[in-house]
Amino acid sequence: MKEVIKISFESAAENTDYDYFINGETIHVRQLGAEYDINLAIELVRRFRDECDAFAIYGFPHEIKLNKNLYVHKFVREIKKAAGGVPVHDGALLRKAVMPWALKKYIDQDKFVLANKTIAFYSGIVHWNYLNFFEDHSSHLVFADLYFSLGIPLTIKGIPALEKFFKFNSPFLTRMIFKGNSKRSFSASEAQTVGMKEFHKADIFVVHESQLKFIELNNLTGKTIIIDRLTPASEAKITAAGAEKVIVLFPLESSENLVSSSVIEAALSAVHDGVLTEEDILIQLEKMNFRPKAILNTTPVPLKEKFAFVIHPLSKKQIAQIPGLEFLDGTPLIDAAEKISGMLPGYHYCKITGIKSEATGKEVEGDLFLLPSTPKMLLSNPVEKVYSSLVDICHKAHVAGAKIIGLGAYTKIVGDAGVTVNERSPIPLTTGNSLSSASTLWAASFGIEKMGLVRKENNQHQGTCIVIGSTGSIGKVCAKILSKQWKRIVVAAPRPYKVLELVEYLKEFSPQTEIIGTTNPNKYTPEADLIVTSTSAQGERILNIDLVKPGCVICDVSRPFDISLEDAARRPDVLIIASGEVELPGKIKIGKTIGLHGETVYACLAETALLAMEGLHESFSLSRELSYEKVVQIDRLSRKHGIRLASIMGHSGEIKESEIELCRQYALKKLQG
Amino acid sequence: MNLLLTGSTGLIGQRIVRRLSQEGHKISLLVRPQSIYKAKEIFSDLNSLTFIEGDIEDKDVVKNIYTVSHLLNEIEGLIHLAAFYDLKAGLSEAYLKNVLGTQNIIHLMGKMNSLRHFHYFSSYAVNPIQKGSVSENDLTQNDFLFEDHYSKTKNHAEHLVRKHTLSHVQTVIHRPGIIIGDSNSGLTTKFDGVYFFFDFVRLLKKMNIMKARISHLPMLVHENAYLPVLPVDILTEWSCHIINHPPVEKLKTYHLVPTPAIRTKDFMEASMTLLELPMKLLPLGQVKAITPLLPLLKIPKEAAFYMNQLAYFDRSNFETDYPQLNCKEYAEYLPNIIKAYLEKEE
Repeated sequence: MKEVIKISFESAAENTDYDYFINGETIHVRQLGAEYDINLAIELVRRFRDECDAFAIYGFPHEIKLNKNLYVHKFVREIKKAAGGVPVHDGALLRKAVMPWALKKYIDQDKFVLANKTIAFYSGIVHWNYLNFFEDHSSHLVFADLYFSLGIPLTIKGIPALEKFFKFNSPFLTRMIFKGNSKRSFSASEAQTVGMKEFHKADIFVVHESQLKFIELNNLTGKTIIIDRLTPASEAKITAAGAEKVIVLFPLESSENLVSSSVIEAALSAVHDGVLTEEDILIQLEKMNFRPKAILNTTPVPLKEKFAFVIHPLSKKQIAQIPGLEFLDGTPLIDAAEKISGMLPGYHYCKITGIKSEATGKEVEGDLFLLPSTPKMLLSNPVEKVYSSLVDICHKAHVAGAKIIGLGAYTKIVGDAGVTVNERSPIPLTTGNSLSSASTLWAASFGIEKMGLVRKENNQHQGTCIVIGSTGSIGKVCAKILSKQWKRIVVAAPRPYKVLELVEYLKEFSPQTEIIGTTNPNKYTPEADLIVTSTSAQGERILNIDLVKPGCVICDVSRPFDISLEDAARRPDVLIIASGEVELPGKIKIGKTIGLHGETVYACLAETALLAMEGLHESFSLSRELSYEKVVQIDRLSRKHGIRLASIMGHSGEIKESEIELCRQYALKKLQG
Repeated sequence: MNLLLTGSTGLIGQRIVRRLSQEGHKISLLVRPQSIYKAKEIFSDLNSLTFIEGDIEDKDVVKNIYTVSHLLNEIEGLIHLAAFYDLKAGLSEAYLKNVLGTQNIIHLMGKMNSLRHFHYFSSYAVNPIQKGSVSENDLTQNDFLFEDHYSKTKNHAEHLVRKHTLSHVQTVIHRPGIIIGDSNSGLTTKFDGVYFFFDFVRLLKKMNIMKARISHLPMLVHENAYLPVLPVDILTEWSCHIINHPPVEKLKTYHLVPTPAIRTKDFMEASMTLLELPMKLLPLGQVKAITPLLPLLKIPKEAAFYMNQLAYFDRSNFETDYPQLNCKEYAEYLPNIIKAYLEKEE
């Protein structure tokens, strides 16, 4: 049987013998701890060099290939010399290929794990061979090499600075004598200096398992640790430090023994003819079936999950409602205040607490951030400036512990509707448009019910519904949903070929419904019981309000509105709905006013809270595109967790039930007359 | 019972082999090739022994092991006594015997089909705790407590024994205290441990320190330190009793130390009186600055820790399972020990 001897720099209490199977061969692996003593390590190598096929070394300084130079620590050089011709492997070849590969696989499942996060390395030089992978995902890499190696509490920022540090210190670092009892404490007061602030602030900490013995961890509460492999002792240590999540890149197991990369490499070398190359490693990797895994720390008392949401004043008047600025109300200073506040960064406005899922009992809490810009300022300021303010809020939210952030009102209209901000944000971002659309349709449905003028049979409204702007993203989703609820649906849009395409699609999607396509919505307006407008007409008149049937419900999803205030005022017999706002489950407390009554919240805020309740940390709704599947999914999730329609909103605020009744009376009168 | 024993030529091993052999056990002794002659000579009066050449430092322990069928198929109990005991030992020699040797024995056990009992001789020193009570179930994982390679390698070896227990083998860990000569005859073959102190007292006596007319001798010992000394015959009696009547648990550890605990200062003063240097000790505690000078006084510097260890070694497991096993008071056997020591010196 082939034999691999693993010389570990650590304690002999971990010594063991086991068999490892690779490429159909059984390899006997003997692990010997050298008790943190290089002379013992060398003696063990000499003693066993005639009895083994390869050596695996563990816990010794890694070989670093920097540009064309290979830096090898003198301990490793001595071990290689003592091994004679027997190959000595430290697992570097394997790690170079596996670490980025495994991390890439993990990122496929958890896209935001690295995005725009500050990533800290207890020793960056140990990970030198694949640091560029981390750099591809985040520009904030910080290294504690100065402290880890030399005890100097300063953080190195960026790879070029790390390279300089290593080049300058390599004569010393490759000769440095280290002992098992020279532990570096990252929790000690000397590691808490200003120079180490950047390091401690990081979101993600990367450590090599063999380093853990030489480190006393800092407080990792709420942080993520990325590690190559995890022994029970390491897991206990990381968990005790409070890390929220541990991503294990290399969870290879052989019976009860955790196999290190150096052992796999040495075992491969034992069954391989000639010198092991990177190419051989890649071939082998394809044969190995392993997946990185994340371990969530369940030891600490679980914190309430947090989300964040961005709001802003919807008018100049609302600026004067910001605490401290009340004196501006009604004064000429309000115009200047609007301009000045449009230049200011966002800040933490208040908390929203008491949200509790009806399905799972999970509690979530929101941080509301206020960007003090009115719609006018948001739309007139340079887009980059608005992006930058929003990204700044995203970072603040992340630091406050939010797992997801939502954009309210006009902040999701600016530029590309959240796409760029999401790319730059350290946490997933959602515009909340899926639930906004769903709740608007809930409101339309509620309005139709209250007006009571359309008969319903077999769960289907026996009337006509028009969707204006139906080939747009929101219009198409509305058309699909309504085609399941109405007997007859008219889809209207300016381009005929798009209309034809949609009609064809809807006929197949809802074969029981009569589908009509038109480029002239006014033709069908007099027959419509429900009109949904979702256009980009920018306030241009798209509908002749005089032609609308009395008692019709118009759902104006467009921003700016398609139906002007004047048109709305002219038709008191028509119910014009702008949106549906919702209430969250639980005993909600909102720290300050957000412009809505009582416990009612914006649907887009509710979507963010809902995603937090569900633990779905993803950019659920982004851009101006809307997905039917997502609207259906958010509708289902809302029912599951207990989010309900709270009020329906018109162009100038909430529409009360008494107002709907009044509208109904006008409509009935007109219909009779 | 068919037994295999390592370390048979040592102080404890010789006595345990004799005792178990007299009790009718069939014993195989694993002896290094270079010691086989010595072993046969030591046990020439016993005819029930089998000698197997082997070395615990070798991976397979016994060469061509598959030809030694009775080892693989008949041995029911394994007593692993072989160790490198020397406080001054270098890391390498202590490691090869204590850690690697135990690792190899564990590896060997996996091949022994009839094995049901494993008795591993550890040491009370595996927990170099300064203060407080040390339980039999404790085994420190703090590698940085150790001040000598012997205790560190014994600790790591015990970790290996605990980690690699076999489901069909019942394991007992014997943790003896500091072993001294026979309580009746005072005889021993190893003059280390407390004997270093006897050497020191004799040195003082030779220097005519009494002429200095000092009543108290300053000593690097803590006033409340305990010294768990145990005569070898008592350890033999206890360990053989445990081997004959093993506990029911899969893994059990026993502190084989005297009770009541012996105060180091009292033991030393009694020894000085018996060595005809009747002085009181002036306990200074462990003065780190002076510790390196201890070898000048014929005491290894590594002993300083043990002379100042305040820890009390709890023996609840032992007292619960074997309440009938008792130890003599040291005042009763110390004269015999000193007498034998002086005879050897003369």
